[in-house]
Amino acid sequence: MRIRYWFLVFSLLGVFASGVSADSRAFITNQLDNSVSVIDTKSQQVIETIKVEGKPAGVALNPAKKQVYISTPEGGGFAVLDGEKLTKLTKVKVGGASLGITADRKGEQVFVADWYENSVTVFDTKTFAKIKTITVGKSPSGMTVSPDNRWLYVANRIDDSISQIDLSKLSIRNTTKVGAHPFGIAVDSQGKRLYSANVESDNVTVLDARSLKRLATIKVGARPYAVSLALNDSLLFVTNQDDSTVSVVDTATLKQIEVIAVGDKPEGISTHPDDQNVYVANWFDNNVSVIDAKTLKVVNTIKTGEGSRAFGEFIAR
Amino acid sequence: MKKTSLLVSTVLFLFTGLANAHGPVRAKMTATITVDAPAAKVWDLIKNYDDMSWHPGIKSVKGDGTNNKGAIRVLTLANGTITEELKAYDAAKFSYKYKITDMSSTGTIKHAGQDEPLPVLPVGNYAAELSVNDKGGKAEIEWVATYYRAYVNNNPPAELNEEAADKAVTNVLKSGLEAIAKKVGSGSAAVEIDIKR
Repeated sequence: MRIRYWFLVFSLLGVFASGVSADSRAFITNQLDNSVSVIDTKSQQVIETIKVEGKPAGVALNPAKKQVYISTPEGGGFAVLDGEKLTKLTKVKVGGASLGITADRKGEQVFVADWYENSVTVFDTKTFAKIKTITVGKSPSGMTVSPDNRWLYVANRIDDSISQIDLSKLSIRNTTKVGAHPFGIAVDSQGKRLYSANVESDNVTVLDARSLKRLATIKVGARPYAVSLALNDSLLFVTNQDDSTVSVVDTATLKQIEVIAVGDKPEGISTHPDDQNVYVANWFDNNVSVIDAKTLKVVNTIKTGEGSRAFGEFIAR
Repeated sequence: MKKTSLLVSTVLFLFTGLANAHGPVRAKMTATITVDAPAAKVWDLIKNYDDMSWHPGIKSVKGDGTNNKGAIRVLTLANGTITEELKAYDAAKFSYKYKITDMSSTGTIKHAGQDEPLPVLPVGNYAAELSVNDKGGKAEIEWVATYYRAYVNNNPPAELNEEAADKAVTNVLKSGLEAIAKKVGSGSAAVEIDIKR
């Protein structure tokens, strides 16, 4: 009885997992080419290249509305793509230099960080009307939203801090210091821990995602750029821009357990919905490395466009 | 007439202001030259990491005699020294990658109330790859450099801005590739430079 029950659960999980991966696409911004490469993660092929002017850098996905947001630092805003038809829907003007971008978990709002204006602007994803501009720290960059949709986290790069914004009030609840120049950040699937890649101090800060209490600091490689979790939050992957590597951190022991060679200037990093394949955009090499989180080996390299950055959560879940 | 020039300067001013307000952005410079010589012959000239006698701007190089990853070389130029670390070496592909880890300064300037050192090469976080590819019996030599401007804050001084960085790197890559072409007997070949950021 019990055996059959588990068998059924695993079969369902299997069906679910393969169903998800069939639809999953990775959106890679090619900053120097002014384009976005769309990778079908099942065939591991680029199936479309979409022209997006303004040095596209950041990526955010909105599965509920089937939209993809691409920040364009030199276009002073972001582009909205149809995630299914792979066409451009509209352009939204924000002003300044938009870089970090993310959407809430329900897909109702999109948040855009402005590198120079030290603010995060909130837009409605139906009308793209501006809801509010929230002043944060200096040079806000990476952002992510907690799984319960309560908090938006923002890395304030020049202030060496992370702010926690209450999404019910759209105001800052708390700000805490982390390592030097935090850039990419990630929250675990339980909303318990927040990780930041600190570019200037070559380490990762681990925070309690609710209280923002500092839990640990972990040494990684040179100029870490962004972070992503895999295998049920048990491993954290960190791109080290200047080492051409990805550090693997065991989140139980909070120690670096492996260093994987990828392409040159690895930047954006995202985990596939299968929770096992980790995609890394290599800026210098114009390609994407795919890491198997179980074997900790690079299993594929996919050619994209020039200056692949893909800053943000770029694979549809 | 006066009005027009005023307008032009205003527009230029606005544009420059905008460009300067920008934080440092990583640049990628690709310099290539195609020479009428076998790729293996060209590689033979440049393959030793601690030998840059082929480059006219570099007076001497001190290395550890190896082409091992992590090898350090110190270049002496007319105006100071540059220390570089070998990041990758691939003899089969005729290519190596390195990065600048340290530079001496050639003096300081006052900017925004601070003393700013002027590094030998006015760049930040510089990494490059030098490679030779066979193109139907000819050799295409490619030197790709990535770097930021030397000034990390907003509003850089002229000595440490993007233009200064591009000019200095162009000079290193162009004079180096021209010298290689000359040494392998293909002196009239032209260097192509492409800068993206």
